[in-house]
Amino acid sequence: MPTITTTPVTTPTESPSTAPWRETYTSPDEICPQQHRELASPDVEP
Amino acid sequence: MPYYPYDMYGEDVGGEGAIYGSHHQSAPDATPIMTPDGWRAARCSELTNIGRLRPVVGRRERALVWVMEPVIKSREAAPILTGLAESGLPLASMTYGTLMDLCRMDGDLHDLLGAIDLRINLGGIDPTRFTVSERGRIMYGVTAAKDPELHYGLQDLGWSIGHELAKACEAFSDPDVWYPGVDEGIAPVPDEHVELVIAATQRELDRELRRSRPSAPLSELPKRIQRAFAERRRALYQTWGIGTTQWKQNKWSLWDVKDDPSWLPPWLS
Repeated sequence: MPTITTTPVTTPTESPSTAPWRETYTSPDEICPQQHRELASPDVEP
Repeated sequence: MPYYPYDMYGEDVGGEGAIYGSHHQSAPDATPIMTPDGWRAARCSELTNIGRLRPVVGRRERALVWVMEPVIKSREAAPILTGLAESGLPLASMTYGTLMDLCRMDGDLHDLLGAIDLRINLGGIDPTRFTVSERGRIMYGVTAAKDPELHYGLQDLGWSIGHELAKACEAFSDPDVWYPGVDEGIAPVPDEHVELVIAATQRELDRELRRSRPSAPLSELPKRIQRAFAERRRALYQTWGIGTTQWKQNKWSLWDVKDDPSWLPPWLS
């Protein structure tokens, strides 16, 4: 009886580095709800 | 309960929700716009902070409300306020109009508001030394160390930069989004500085507690968007009177904030 071999089937997935960023932000509270004054990064020259 | 990192901002005037937003953020309500005349008539003891959605008009006026607690009630201000009280002008009964008029006059109050710390909450580190000029010194990810933040009086500047970042991130879903940079009025921003600004901004996004959700990968924004954000950031700092000199000295002045009594934040327009 012939030997039947099967190859595992893998579902292609997008790697994190290639998947498009899907979040959208309509306000700063969604992207940065807490640290607005830190988000300005005042340790970096304007 | 809303997240209030500082007790002195624990009370939200106007019932509009958390100052810092997040999941407790209320929708913009029907609170009437506080006009410059309304602001001048408001008592200092009653208007002690401005929630992000509260429509109070005036860039410098809003900043004065924000500096009330940390500066006006600081140790340095105590003898000044004592002198005012003794001459019949106690802060508790003062209106913002009276306070602003007093502050505008040459004197101790004027000088106090002319040299306010720019970077704060550095855990004892000399803020004039706490600067980053190289991308390699930016530490990504959540760290135990607290990064410096703008002074409380610059809350609107912080919100404005966040507002710009949210707009810049529209490019993730629409790479052709209209988001121009700033061609005039600011010194040119070198490519290296654009990278530094993006890296520092990413640092803060990574530190945000968003229930383990990843932060937006700013380096994946189109290069023109990254540059536009960095240029707009520089222009915003300049609007609040902060350039390289002020940044190096770690001081900002209420009197250098661009005076615009009709200014309403863009997120409320």
